[in-house]
Amino acid sequence: MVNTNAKYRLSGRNRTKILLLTIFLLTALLFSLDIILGSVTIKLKDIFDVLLNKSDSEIYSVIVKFRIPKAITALLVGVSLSVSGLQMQTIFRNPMAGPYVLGISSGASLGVAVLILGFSDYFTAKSLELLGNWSLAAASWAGAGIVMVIIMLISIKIKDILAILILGIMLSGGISSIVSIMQYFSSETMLKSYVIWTMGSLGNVSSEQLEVMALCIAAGLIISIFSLKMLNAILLGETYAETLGVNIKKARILVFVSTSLLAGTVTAFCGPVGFIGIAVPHIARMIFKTSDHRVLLPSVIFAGASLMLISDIISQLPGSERVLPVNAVTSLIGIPVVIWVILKTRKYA
Amino acid sequence: MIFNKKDTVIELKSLTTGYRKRGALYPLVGPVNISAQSGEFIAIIGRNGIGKSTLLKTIAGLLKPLEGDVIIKRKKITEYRRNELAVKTAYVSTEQIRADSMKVGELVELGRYPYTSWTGRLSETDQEKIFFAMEKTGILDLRDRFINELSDGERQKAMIARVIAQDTDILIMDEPVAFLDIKNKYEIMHLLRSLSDEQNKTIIFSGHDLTLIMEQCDRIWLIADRTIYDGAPEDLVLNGLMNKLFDDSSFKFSERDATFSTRREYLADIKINGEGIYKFWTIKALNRGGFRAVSHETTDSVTVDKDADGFYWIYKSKIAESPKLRTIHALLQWIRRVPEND
Repeated sequence: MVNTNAKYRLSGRNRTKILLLTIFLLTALLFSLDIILGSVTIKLKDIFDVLLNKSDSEIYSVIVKFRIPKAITALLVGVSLSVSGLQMQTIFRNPMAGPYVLGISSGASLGVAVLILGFSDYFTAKSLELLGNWSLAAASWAGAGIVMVIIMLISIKIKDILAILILGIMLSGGISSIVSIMQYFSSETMLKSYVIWTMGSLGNVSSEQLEVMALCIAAGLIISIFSLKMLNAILLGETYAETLGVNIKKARILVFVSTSLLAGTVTAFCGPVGFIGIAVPHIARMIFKTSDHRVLLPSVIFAGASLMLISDIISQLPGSERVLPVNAVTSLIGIPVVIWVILKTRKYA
Repeated sequence: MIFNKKDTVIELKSLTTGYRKRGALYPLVGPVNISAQSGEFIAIIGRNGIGKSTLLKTIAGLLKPLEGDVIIKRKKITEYRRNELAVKTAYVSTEQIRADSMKVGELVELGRYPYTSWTGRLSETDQEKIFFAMEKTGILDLRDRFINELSDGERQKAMIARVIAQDTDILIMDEPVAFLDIKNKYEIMHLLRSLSDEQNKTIIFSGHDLTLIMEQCDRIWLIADRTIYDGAPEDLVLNGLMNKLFDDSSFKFSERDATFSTRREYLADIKINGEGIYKFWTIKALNRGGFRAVSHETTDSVTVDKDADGFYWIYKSKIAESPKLRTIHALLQWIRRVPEND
């Protein structure tokens, strides 16, 4: 008979808590390092002096106007790309899914390209600011959303992991061709605005843009919280999820809105950033050894933020005047993880 | 013995099942009228592609009936919301789970999905049900193992633990013992049988292990000729329905020992002298070798007997007699060699 005294204990809870605390502290440390390190290394003492006294020194303007917003941007980018990657990998049941690989980021750039190259006839070189940050973000969401819908519809029919991956690459390729054609037909000023946008990096985000970004990403994260329980069941596949009472359509819509918001917003203000979204969820699963999205969400938030902060620190080449494009750094960090995952999941291909 | 109250839990009413493709209907089974009571342990048998899975999926609410209705607990399945049905019916098939970092414990916990709030937090009751399911299937020790590291038998037990944790009155299982070794097949069948006996659950499953099914199930739904033949295993045997599992006449179901054998011309008749279990298995071996065992006198005979060293076989034909052969294998080799000695 059933031993009613025997209780099922959830395993590994303490381990999870310790790991979460560790990774949170790591994020905080990297955040501080990102502010301290740069072409000029600033002493920690100076930072506190500046923040407390608000002296109008040169250091003050470097820290407050440049380094802190950049660190916050890095944090937001890391968080939102990783969370959208996590959701996409589960909803597509594809370990290779991510906003960059599946062309969601390209879709967002298409949205921006259409906005800048198509509708900015009257804008001057300063067009981006006149255009408004919200319209830029909205154009990105629309572009990201369209690609997301295409991928979702096709992935209902085609379950093959590599086929979906190739589809994502095709979509990215197609989109960049469309953008090139648009560039060809656009005027010099428009082209200039667009090129400035494509070079967008973590450091070019204005404080107004940062506000818009933070709001949108917060919205995307809150929506993602409501999909967590469903995502756990969807790991079993749609048939089993359905028999457990999951409303698959609702889950798809939640993930669709959340990822379009998250990945779209990041792309709108920072340009496409590759491989964070695909790599971070795998790193989190490896460290936390769980498939429970209620644990994975906070883990990818901190792991994503940390990885993006590390990438930013590296891209600054501390102590030197040169700066690397951050996308190159994230790719170099992310690609080995992706290759590891391909080797690990070869049996499903 | 206490008999549980029998209620009709599943009714198939003029049900036609099959699949739809580009708007066209492809019916496989039906129309059928049949029902299942609480606590029944029902096996669905039939040839591959005959519509077993489609029927099971339709009963589980995963496919829409082409015509007619599935009625679960006096309510049409189409009138249930997904989450209402999830506390009535659980479903498990041979479909593999591809979640890489999922642990056995996490898999079984998902069985409580229909009962938890949107946060997924497990209550005391939930944790007790999970414990019971894992204990019953004997996988408590596997709790922290990743499911993709399990053997086939362990993985199937974990999948079954998940539906036990779901604690529904109806369990629908598509080939729950496929790909398992004999030990695991028997363990899982016993487990399912005990669930229907002790907890009054209605279990409908499909399978191909006829001997096992005939031994464990009170009721078989045999799918053939686009309909369901319903009855106790013995009824189906005595009515000659088991032969419907084959579409041609080269195989024949043996009413005596629930096996199938090819119909063919026998090479010769052999008389068997001997007793008991040794005689039984000798007959089996000779049948397989193409000889018919008879009890009347013939030119050829096999004698099974025992001496101080144990059992032995002697084969005698009109031209030769074998020495004492100590195994059936040796006996068969000797018989096959005889014509060359002519």
